[in-house]
Amino acid sequence: MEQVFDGLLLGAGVALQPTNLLYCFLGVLLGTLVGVLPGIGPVPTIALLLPVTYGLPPSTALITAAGIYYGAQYGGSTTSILCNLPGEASSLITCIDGHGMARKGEAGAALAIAAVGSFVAGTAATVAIAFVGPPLAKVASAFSAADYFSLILLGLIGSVVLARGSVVKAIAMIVLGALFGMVGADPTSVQERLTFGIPALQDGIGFVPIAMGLFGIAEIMVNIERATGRTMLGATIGRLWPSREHWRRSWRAILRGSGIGTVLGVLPGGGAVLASFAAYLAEKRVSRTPERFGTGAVEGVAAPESANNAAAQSSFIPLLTLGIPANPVMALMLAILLIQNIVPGPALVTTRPDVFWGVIASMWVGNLMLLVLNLPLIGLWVRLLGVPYRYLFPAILVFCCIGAYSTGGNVAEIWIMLAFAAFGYALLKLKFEPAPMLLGYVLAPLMEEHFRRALGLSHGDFSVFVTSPISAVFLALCAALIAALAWPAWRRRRETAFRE
Amino acid sequence: MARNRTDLFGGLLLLAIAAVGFLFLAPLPFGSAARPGAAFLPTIVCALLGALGLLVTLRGVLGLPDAIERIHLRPAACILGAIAVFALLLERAGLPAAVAGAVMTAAGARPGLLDWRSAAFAALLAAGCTAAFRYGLNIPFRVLP
Repeated sequence: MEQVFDGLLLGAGVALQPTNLLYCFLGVLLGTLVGVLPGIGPVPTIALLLPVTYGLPPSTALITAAGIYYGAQYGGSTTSILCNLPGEASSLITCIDGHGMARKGEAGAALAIAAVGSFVAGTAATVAIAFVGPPLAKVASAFSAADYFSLILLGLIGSVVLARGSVVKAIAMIVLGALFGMVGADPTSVQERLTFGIPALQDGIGFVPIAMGLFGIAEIMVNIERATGRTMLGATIGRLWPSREHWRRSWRAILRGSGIGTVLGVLPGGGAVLASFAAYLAEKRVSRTPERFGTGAVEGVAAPESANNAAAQSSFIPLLTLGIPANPVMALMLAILLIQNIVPGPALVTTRPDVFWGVIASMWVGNLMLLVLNLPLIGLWVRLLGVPYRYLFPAILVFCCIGAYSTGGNVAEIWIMLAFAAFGYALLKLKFEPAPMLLGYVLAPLMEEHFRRALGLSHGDFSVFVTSPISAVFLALCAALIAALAWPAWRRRRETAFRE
Repeated sequence: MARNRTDLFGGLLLLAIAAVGFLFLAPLPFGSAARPGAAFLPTIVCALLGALGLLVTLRGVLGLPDAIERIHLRPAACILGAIAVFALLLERAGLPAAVAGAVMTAAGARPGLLDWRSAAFAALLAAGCTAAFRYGLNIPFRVLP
């Protein structure tokens, strides 16, 4: 308790430094901007700014990037409510009732509830990280290499449960990602593997070109095929302050959404998208009037918008305490820290308390800024939606090219991005989800490292993975998950859950 | 004849990647569990991928019918072409030319976008990017051809 208080005090000292306040503001501003704009999300944005972080102190770099991520969760709701077009995938579900409220002339109230809900959720998640983080790090510091290997394996299998679509295809994507992650010089023998003689692949496939190709460019290619007829509801925002009835209906939804989001954000492959769906479904289930959902129920806005923001923040927990990124955005955060020569893990709380607590404290500060940015300035963001896609997509394309080039200073990175854009497009057409692939790609090198270390220590004896009690528990959970996935009744339940 | 074409072609794609992986990993040392070589884990991963590819292919042959969504060649070619133009021009002709070239190539993705507005936007974006990234963030881009 006292440690948490001291930590938060230290963190506040870091977060309230003028430069960090400025960068936090820039981060949440940029986050809101990309959140509002459909077709560009936090991943390409943070990747584009990766080279900028070289010159910043580590805490400042992470504060900025974190601001972009949770800022995008605020911005995403605006587009969903006003245009019935999700600004972010995590606001997809908000369209249903958010736009429903807008059609009833309650757009202002929907926007306000979304912003207030996000703020409450952000506060709850900040508190959760502060309390859960340090004890978890203490537990994790006792983990051996075998334990880590099994934990990552559990995470990867867990992410399959949460992935949409076919289970087999999701597993295949993780395995494929793992293979991509192993391209480049072998960590121990420095022997090149799967580089096809291309010098740019010696250090492995870069994260930025792979992420931008898969998520930035391939997305544009699919979007442009679909007609983007937007129904703007610009003039009818209506009264901004929600009525007493709105508050009465939504306060519980906000709290439940915050709770669900905080928990689901920690899970691997979880994060903001999953949390928003789960919170919406949960709210519909507990509601005494579920038939109101779909026609502009305020709970259908409050719950998912709270949940996505809470999850965006709580997904920092596994990264900051275990050194394991739970989703692609966290993989970028890991990259930012590695550039700064900081290896996140259980020791981070004690070795770099300024980074750990600084980021946590900045989240609350950032959320406060976002509340101000989103409520009085909502008109400004709405006007931004008038920018036609014909200007937006070439700009995003160019930014991705510049981002890919500037991380390595090498044109080859742009060609790699092009290859992954084409590949990502093919995957989308063949109904593969690209997200698990990126997770496999990020975690494979970590897994290989722990796998080798564990086997090295045991002199090649595979039983080390079951004789360590922690590892054995993780592996048992893996087996249980796989069994559950194969169980027909469970499979049907999962499928109906996603169809809803 | 296969009914589920997304799964059939998806499975074949995975099998092809696994095969390429095996081919290029073959000359590398496999090692043993105590001293794993460079190819140890990647080969295991390739085997897993091949098995999953086979499973997906089988589902394609036996599964419920599903057609592949139409592939629109023109937008796909223009978007990928824009990236290629950017990559080709960047170090030869400089950042502004690369940006403008990419924007104009991308504008071909939809009919009717290749007009003076796109040209004006290309010029604007070229100037803006050069100012922001070359001079603002000091990334060493070539500016003039």
